[in-house]
Amino acid sequence: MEYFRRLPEFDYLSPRTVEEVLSLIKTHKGKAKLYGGGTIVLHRMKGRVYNIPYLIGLKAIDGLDKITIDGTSHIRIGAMVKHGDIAQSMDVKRVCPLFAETCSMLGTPQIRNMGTIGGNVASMFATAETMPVLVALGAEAKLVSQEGERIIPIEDIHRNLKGKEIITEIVIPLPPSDAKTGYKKFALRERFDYATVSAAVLIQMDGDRCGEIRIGLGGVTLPTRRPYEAEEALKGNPLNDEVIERVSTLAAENSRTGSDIMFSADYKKKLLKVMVKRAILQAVKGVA
Amino acid sequence: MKHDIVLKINNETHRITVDSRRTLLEVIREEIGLTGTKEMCNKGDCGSCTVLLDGRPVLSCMMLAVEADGKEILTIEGLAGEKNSLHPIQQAFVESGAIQCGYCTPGFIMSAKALLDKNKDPNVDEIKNAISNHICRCTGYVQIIEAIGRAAKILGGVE
Amino acid sequence: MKRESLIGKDIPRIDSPEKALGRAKFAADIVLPGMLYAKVVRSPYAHARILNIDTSKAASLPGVKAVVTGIEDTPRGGLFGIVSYTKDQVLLPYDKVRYYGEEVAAVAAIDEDTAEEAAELIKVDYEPLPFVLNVEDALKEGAPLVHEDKPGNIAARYLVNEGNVEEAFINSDYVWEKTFTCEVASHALPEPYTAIASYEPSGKMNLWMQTQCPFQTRQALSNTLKLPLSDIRIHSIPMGGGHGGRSDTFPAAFIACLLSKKTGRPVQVKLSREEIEDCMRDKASKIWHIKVGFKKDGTITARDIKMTLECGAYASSSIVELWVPLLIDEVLWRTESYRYFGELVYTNKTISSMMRTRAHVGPMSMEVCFEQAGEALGIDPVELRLKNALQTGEVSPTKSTITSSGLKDSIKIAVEKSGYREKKGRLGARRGIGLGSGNMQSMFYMGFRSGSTAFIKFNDDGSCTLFTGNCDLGQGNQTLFTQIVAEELGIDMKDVKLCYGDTELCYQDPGTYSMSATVVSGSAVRKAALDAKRRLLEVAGDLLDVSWEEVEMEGKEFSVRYRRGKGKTVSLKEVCRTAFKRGKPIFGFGDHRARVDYSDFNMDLNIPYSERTYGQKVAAYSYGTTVVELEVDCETGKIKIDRIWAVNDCGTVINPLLVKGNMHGQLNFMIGHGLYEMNRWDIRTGRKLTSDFRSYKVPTANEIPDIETYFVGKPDPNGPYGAKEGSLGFGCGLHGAIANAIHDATGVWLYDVPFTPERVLKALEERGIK
Repeated sequence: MEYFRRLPEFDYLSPRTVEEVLSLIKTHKGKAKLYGGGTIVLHRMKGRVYNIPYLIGLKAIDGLDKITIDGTSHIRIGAMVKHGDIAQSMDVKRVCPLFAETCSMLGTPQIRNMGTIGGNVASMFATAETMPVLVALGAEAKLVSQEGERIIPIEDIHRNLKGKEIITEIVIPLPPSDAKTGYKKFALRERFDYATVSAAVLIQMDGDRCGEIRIGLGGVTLPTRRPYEAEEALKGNPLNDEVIERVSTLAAENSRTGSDIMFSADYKKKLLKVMVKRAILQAVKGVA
Repeated sequence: MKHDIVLKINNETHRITVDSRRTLLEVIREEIGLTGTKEMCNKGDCGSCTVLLDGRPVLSCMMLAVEADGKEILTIEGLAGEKNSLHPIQQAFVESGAIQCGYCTPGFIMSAKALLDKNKDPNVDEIKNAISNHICRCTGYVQIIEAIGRAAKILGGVE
Repeated sequence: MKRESLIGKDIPRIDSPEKALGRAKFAADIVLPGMLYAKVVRSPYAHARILNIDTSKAASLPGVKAVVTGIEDTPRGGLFGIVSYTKDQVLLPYDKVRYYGEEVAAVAAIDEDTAEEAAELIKVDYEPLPFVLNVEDALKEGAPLVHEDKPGNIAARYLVNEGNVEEAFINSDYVWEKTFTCEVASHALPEPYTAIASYEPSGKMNLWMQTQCPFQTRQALSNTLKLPLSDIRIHSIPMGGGHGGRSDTFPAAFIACLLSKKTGRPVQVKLSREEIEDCMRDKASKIWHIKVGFKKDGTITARDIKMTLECGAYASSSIVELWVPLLIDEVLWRTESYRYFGELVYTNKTISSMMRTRAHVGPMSMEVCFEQAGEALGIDPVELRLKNALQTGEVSPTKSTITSSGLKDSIKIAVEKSGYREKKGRLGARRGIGLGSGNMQSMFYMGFRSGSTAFIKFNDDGSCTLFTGNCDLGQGNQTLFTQIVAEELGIDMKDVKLCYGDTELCYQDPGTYSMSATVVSGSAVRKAALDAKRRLLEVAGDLLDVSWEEVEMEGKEFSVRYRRGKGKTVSLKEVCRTAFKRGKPIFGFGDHRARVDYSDFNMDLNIPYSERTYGQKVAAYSYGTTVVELEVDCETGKIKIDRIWAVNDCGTVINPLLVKGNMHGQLNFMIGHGLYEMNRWDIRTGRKLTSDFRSYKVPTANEIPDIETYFVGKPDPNGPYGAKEGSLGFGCGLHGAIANAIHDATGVWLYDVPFTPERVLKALEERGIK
């Protein structure tokens, strides 16, 4: 039986470069964890979920905590950028207000001052709150290993991230100026609990019909984060109540939720449908 | 593994050697002896261990002491003026009845400090957002919210 | 000039500055020279026999100073329990464990890390036994027995049967019947439970720990440790919340004592958040079946209640919860025939105890009843309540007289202030308003612990020190007592020093137990102040050459009453010094015994209930009413409370600032228990799954609505200045108000607390509401 306790013994390593990190990962294979903001790793260490002798701290590495706008095409967010910094970044607010807003709704002030975007993405939590909106925005993750770099779509990260790799950057294509976006989350205690389920959408209209659309879901099993069938069902259709109802039903039905301490899987599915519907309505009608 | 670190706590410099496993909370309470910062849950949920790290509120139980090397840390003990005179936020908490058992109080006051440093005249919703990581089981938060509003007025010279 | 009275003034708590500064020393902040740190080894089974404990590896770890186990170290024969027939708990068991996380051994070492490492080296062999996790299973034929000597897993039963209930129902025009439930709730107290024990060579056991009632704790530790009562001293320290959850005596304190005795050094036992939630106290789950008969005109003819209460592994102070719902229910609404049957059931779960919100299901059931019966009878439900509300001077079914009832007033004020009549049924889509009343005792019968004794000594500089055995877990009792002394003596509060809750220095007191602090302890303090004043006046009279009746005390000065402002005066300091010179220092003594004579909470089933004596069970009752306005999200089932109007009949309000704060706190607890908080257990292992603030959903600031507070303000003859309990009773009807408001918003009735979004949505779907 494991009770939550003070931290066990371990060595905190503090490399200065990404190369050093990669070499430490190799040296301590299976015995080390990457340590970003700390909120997730320390939790797992105190709960004895992790029993490892090394933590590789990423705080001393230069350059992982920068937000840069890449001309008019991309916004690059270093893996060690904190949620609070994204929420308050004037650049992010200007070019991608949806993402700034999502980060401002994540956790609490303290968590936003500690938790990093890289850690949130890498946590592989179904409830990781940056994921739905990153999926909707078509974001990609830059993964680096000793073999080199690669860029993968964010919704596939759970299949791709290898133990020898680290996420160094999240790359978000700037949404077109006419894109409509929405994000809704359900949390019992709105500013304290992590989202039970959530949904983010990005829609580009084609006349009075839906053109490009991407939907990202939270609180669902990782492979069902992006409801492709629902997206397809929306494309080319007018965004009336009947279509939105059908699409949100489809999105919820084709994704998988699990029960938790408070709620059943079935109830969460019902919630998910409501969140998808409300996110779409927020996008098209500006309904808050 | 031992680390030699420098912590600047409440404008006082401490050169200490810490083990990797020590959290910032443990070092503040057990090594430095500042017990005003409280442990309630030790897992990042309750906010009572909040200190300001370079001016921003963080949970000292979910942070390693070694990570705070070279940083400026403000704890509840660093707020009072000379001879333990109450800081305006502390004064407002006392006068508003915002303190019952008082165990969670230092954490709330630190978050209030971080808020009022940036926002001179917060509305109720902004105050609630600023204290959303804090658990109080006695007050019902009403008088805490009033206290932070009152502190803003005292600090702004209105009261 | 005569000072304005302090009664009714907003006075901030006197202990707040040190807490705001971070300077108050709570138990975990205390480090004694040579102190050792202990860790407890806990059962990984919900029910198991302890076969063998091997402590050799732990004992030989460098830095380890002592190991204790029940088999080796628990003195035999000392059981913990609140009343004689519920003494069922060995504080460090040696035969079997009855819930997941129960204490089996402990180790003391030079630091926490070493203690943790050593605790892991203790090997315990168990024989796992089948276990029960709910009352339904526990009551089944052939269910595993939590205690072998308690057949059917029944810890206790309690029956009251007045009038003829069966006949009354037959003669009723309308009979209403429903079953309500509430889940196990938690205190979720902020301060981690910490006990420091220091055993001195003289045989004295000193303790710094959290307790709501130091004197009961001292007695229980004496019984279980087999130490003389007078050799145990509980020191007074700031405490981080109680709310009923620190009323009992806990294994952690017992273990700290065993380890300190064994090592001769101070030992600290500090529990983690999970240990607190799993291994301290919860509030019992409850099934509340109620049947109510009415006449056509709305008069209640009979009430019949059957309550099943789950106490967890040991009876503890849940036994009090077996009769408290009666104490609440019987004095709210008038009835001729009354039957109340309660059953306390063991399960292999966290032990339950008292809690500030405890009996809320009872008041809720009647609030829902009034709405439904009102509709059936064609009577306005508010009028139905007013018609049946018990009033001052009336007598309860078990013969308690109500010395003051502001129930009707509180309903009227709440209805008026909230605009209830204008809003009911008219708030539009998904919005609703609801009303609910409640009450609470100020001091119920606790045998010879029903009284408090206080005394005051005057120092040679004219200041004084008050000694009271009562304590303060945040309610504001220190401020209350100081305020009373300052009021009676006409001196500044800062000139009144306080020594409280120290079992060595103070007389016995009920503690913050049974809501007695104001009415009982406060009265004793007031009497002590008056006694001291008389002695002051006597000495001053001698110095002024008049009799004491002719002396007036104003501020720190004494003068002859009819020569105001002209003649000779003497100072308080002079009077105190004169008294010392005479060898008779100024002293004040005050004792207060509550007006209770009910001497039979004996639930021994061998004694027929009819042979029990009835009488005054409670000194005074406080009442109150809450109105709630809320919104239901019919797609998610989530409820958002927008506003609460709370009307408190707590008699005279001695310090409104504090009472309002305590009222907010009660509503916070009630909102949490009503909408969010639920405990869950792993059915495979019996381990609690909701052991932190993430999984156990206590409200944060964002869940608390706007709250308006009002007072009825009518004094009660029992309490000091006419005051009664002021923090709990008014809010006990909140769940009824919420249930009624949900019905007003959606047409759906809910009977099971908490009203979680999933439950609400399910009810809406069943009614086809979107």
